[in-house]
Amino acid sequence: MLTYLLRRVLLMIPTLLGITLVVFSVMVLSPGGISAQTLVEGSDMKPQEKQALMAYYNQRYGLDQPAPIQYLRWLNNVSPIGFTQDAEGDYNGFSFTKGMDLGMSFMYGRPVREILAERIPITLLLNAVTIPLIYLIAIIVGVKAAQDRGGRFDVFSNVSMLALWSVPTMLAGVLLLGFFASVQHFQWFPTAGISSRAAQDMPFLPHLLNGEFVPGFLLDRVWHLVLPVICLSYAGFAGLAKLTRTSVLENLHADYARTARAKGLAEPDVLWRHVFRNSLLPLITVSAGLLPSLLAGSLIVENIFSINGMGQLAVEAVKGRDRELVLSITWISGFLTLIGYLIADFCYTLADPRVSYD
Amino acid sequence: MQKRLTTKDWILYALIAVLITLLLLVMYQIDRQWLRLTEMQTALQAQAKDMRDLRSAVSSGTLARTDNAATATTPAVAAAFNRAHAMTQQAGYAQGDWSVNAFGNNLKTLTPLVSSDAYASDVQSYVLESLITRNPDTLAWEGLIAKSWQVSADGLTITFQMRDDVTFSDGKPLTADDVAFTFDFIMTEAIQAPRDRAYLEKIASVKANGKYEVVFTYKEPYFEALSLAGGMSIFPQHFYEPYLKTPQAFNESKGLLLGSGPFQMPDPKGWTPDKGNVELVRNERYWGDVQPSYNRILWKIIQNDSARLTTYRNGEIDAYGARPKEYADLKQDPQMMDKSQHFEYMPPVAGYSYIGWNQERGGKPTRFADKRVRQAMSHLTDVQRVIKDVFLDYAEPAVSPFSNTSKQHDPALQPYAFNLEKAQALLKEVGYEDRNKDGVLEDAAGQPFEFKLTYFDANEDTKRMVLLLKDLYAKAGVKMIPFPQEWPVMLESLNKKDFDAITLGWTSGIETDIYQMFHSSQAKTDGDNTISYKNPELDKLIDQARATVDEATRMPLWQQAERIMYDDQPYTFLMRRKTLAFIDKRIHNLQMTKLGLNRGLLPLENYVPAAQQKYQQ
Amino acid sequence: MTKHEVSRESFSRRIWRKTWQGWGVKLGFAWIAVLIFAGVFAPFLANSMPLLMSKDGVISAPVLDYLTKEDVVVLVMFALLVILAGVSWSVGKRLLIFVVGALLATLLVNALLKPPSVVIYDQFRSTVYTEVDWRVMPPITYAPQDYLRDFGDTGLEAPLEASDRTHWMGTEENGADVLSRMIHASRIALSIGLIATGIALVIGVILGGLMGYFSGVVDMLGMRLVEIFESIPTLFLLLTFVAFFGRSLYMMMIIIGVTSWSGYARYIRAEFLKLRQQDYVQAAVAGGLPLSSILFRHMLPNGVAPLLVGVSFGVASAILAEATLSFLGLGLVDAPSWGQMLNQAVKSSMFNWWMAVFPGGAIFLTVFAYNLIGEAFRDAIDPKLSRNAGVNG
Repeated sequence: MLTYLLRRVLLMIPTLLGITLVVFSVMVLSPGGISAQTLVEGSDMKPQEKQALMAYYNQRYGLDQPAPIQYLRWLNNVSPIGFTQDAEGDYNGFSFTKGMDLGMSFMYGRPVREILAERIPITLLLNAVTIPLIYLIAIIVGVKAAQDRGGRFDVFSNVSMLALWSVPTMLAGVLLLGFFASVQHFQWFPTAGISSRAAQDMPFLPHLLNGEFVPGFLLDRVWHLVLPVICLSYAGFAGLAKLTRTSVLENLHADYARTARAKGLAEPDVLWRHVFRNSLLPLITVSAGLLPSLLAGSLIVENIFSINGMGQLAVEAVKGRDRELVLSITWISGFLTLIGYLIADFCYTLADPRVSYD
Repeated sequence: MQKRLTTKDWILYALIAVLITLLLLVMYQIDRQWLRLTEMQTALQAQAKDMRDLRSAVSSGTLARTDNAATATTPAVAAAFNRAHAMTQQAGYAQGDWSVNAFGNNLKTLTPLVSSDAYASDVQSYVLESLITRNPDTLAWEGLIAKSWQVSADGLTITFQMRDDVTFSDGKPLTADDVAFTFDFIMTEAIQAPRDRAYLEKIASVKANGKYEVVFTYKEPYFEALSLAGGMSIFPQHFYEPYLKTPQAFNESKGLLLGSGPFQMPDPKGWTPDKGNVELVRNERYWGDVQPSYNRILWKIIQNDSARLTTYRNGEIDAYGARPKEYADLKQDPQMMDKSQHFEYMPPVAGYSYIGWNQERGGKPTRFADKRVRQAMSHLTDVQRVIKDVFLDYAEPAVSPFSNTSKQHDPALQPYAFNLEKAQALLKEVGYEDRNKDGVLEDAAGQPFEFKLTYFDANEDTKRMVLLLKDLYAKAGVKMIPFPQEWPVMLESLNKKDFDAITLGWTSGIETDIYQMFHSSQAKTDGDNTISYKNPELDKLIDQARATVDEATRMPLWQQAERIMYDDQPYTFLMRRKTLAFIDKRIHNLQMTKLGLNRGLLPLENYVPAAQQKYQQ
Repeated sequence: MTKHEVSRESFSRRIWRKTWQGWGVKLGFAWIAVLIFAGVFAPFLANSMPLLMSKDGVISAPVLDYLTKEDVVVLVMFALLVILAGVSWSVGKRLLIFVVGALLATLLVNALLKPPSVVIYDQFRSTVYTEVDWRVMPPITYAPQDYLRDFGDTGLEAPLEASDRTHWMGTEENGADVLSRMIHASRIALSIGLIATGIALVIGVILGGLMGYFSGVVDMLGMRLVEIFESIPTLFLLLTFVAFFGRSLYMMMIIIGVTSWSGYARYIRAEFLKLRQQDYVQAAVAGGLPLSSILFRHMLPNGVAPLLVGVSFGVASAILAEATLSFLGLGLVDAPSWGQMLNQAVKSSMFNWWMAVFPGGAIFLTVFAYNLIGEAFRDAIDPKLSRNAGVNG
């Protein structure tokens, strides 16, 4: 098991290198290339000052060097083991403990690590709420449809799930925002952000203060998350519900299910204790692919609902041509995806004792 | 036999999970309560310190004396606070409530000098104060922190006498040393303030003369000397001085903001961009003669346009700046009109938009280097049409960089009118003809008249305008290719002078200095004359006007410069746009002034009557 | 008797028959057929100029003078398609002729055709074109880029709002007719879906085939490449490309293609790993056939059918990707696109339902149609396949 794990982790390294290399080449090959220009906002500055500022940034980010060197420099900074630099920027040694330095964001002028530390939890929160929801709905709908094979519910859910799956996220987001967060129709939900200003002064849990109900920080957060989560989840559960249906259907008519029924087990017991357990396997495989698609989805959802997560950051970074930020977002989302695959493989062993990795 | 999970196990696990979550949540809540407690504790400490100071002041007798003086001269309101004072006398006036606004973008930093966006300076304007301020009615300068000032006969020295009762929001007094420090601080090379330094470089020195008098000395006469010196925001020396030793920490800081203004950051060092919102609280120690009405000023970050409007409709922000089309539509919307006051006005400082024709690319003159081509393009650019179709008449044509109401402007000049025949004649004169009958003009060498117009892609109105211009130019056989760009990319092409034509805008002031965009010295290097426009005659006039302190002799010089630019058309000047705003009805005492709407003007002139207040605290 | 008949049916024909059974798939194909018709004949369906007119006895067809190079290429390709569908050559031969013919047409058109560089749409409403003996106008009398400048500001007019002009679906923010833009945009949607997926398919099949056939080191390296492209969010890479390189439809197609091949490669690899042990492949190898022949003539046809499923879903997701990009404000400037129109529904302050319903509906229907077809294929080929395919789209 341990060797397997080690092998998987080691295999991640070339993949991550490849990802960053692809994105880095895109940036370098683009017509504007990477330059400090984006850092130095033009107007109101004396030419000499502007030059000085450019020179400062060039020196600091190594932007005046040829592209391959830039990439290697960046790589050295990011990898936890590598060469160390002295104050002048010369390489003077090799260290195994120098730690990762993600560099400074051009746009924000702050360490990328800090920015990511702010943004990643928000996106992960969105996903942490969304993924269980996706599975819950998908399993309920899928199993029900399988039981009702060919029946009215089956046909209806089949078509409606496929339709849901085809609805573009932006259309859904816009309609939800337009109808359920606006005073013109139903003002049930907030329009933007993930918590209201008032929530900062509230206690965390719901309370009755002086006979007045205070929703508390937690409920306020939940209330803010409703629309974005709907937007993020519907495509996922639509796809997954269909998968659940086929998977359950296959097992429902398998020999062991028939045996169990013959043994006199009640139908719910057959379904949930035997069939369902076996139908879980494909669902777990799919869970690995869910995370990247959710990350992509949050690009749009966060944009529509003004949520400051990774998705927003990605769009901002790309539009601002922020080299360090773009590279870091790339490898981190890649890393998350790979970890997703790894976790899925492990869940596989948990769900199916027959599978083992050695 | 393998162990299987039974239903009972599941329930057990679920119960344990719920219990643990509950426990965690409760722990988190207690944690938050502790945070609140510490916050209150610091507030209490600050109050206690004030009490101590007060007590010592009383015992030493200083307080009693000032008190007597105040009662002796009853109108204790300085001229700058007159308008605000008048507000407090209104029938419904009440203190309290918050002002809630929205920013369309994340802020990078709030630290003055380092920040470069308009949003940050908006926040800073509530916190930092300067020596003098413009009167919104007369546009004359009035003392804010300065009581009075004298300009020497040669215009080279300005002496300010300052009020002696001004304190920063942390209770420390504001003295002439702070003013002198501010100048020295900005001029320190290690501090990343090139923009501010570029402005202040005309000042030779700033010296404190005693505790409450400060002297600005100029290197050469400069027409904006007074506003430059008096408009400089004053930084507290005790707060910013340590950063002279660690300039890097200052340059990379996010929220170092402390001043003497009516509002203060809850924590003058603690703000970071991840907080999203920016929040200012009332400066309880504000020295001014009129205390601000709001308890807090809050800016939310809402990037999505339609979400911003919805948020306004829902009453969660107080103002919404609309695009022309929106404005016209929303005025018909009963829900919107029911809750809002609406304003359309042309601020005197409204910037103008233009199309800049690049005259030199890669060291070679472009087709736009010929004055006749530029004139033809100006004749083809039907500004009236653009204003009518795209901006729905909420704009006025610009003749030159100088606003139509400004004294710099020569009223005899009229904007270039749309004239297809004249444009065609001019182009023919240069040698453009449709030689291969494909609808596009070609020059003598057979090169088609085709160019890319670079514009900022996020502005919808600009996009509509560009498409309209494309159709207009097509009528004369000129092919324009719209070329939308992201902001940083656009700045880059500007800096590298790598574009055919570009449409952008410049802000203007009450009096507009055109040195940086049109002086030829700014074309050689990385200056803002990105179109490489050179006219020695104009250069001379600009230099002359800038060195003339006397307004009566300066204005004719500007007008002469304007006439040259009118003939040369280095830019095709497009228009000045009106500000179109919806403001929540609970905000009272909104008035038009010569500086525009008085919302956000300092000293604050708006309030919310007690009955309509929304936010306690 | 029946048994005999079924066995005589070829594999592809059987799949086709099974696919064609449901009503959903018929609807899907019907919608796609409508799109193809609209895309190919767009200039004749919606344009500002008369199709045919007679002035002073001279009969002319202005629409032909203003056909762009793209219009002509699309028409030629469609004609080729119709002709080739009629003849009974092998699939490979027909495909080859089609590709060669299309390339030839593109080259010829680029070299020979000189359409006017600028079109002034106002002139078609001037007397030159209106005071004629007789004329035949297209069903929709507005070109997609005809912003109706001669009428003043016509931006965002609700359907049928103006009585003097008929806009069945209203106008967009610049005043162009939405229906006309919808028709012309169907070409973009179709082409981006098909070409991007085509590119992905070619790359995926070649790489996957090589990986599966050679296994070993090639497989190992190839799988890393697959993993790399699986771990980069396509949308993010696309965003990076467009932000750094500028907007171009062709580039979008290529990038979507280049980033979405990993699923096909994975599938083909797995299939080939199985197939290479088969006797007939071993025989082909022993027979000394060239590699390309073994890979593409002998092995590929046996693994190709399930790819159809992936292709349908791939087309759907490519269309969505373009729409998303336009929605994030990185789409095309002037050219009509559904995503860009949907973006306008969001951008404007009022909820202009027609800008959300029609383009949003079109995107939805198209994606739905491709998904329906994909589903039908999947069910027809192998119900168990649904374990792997589809979700990675």
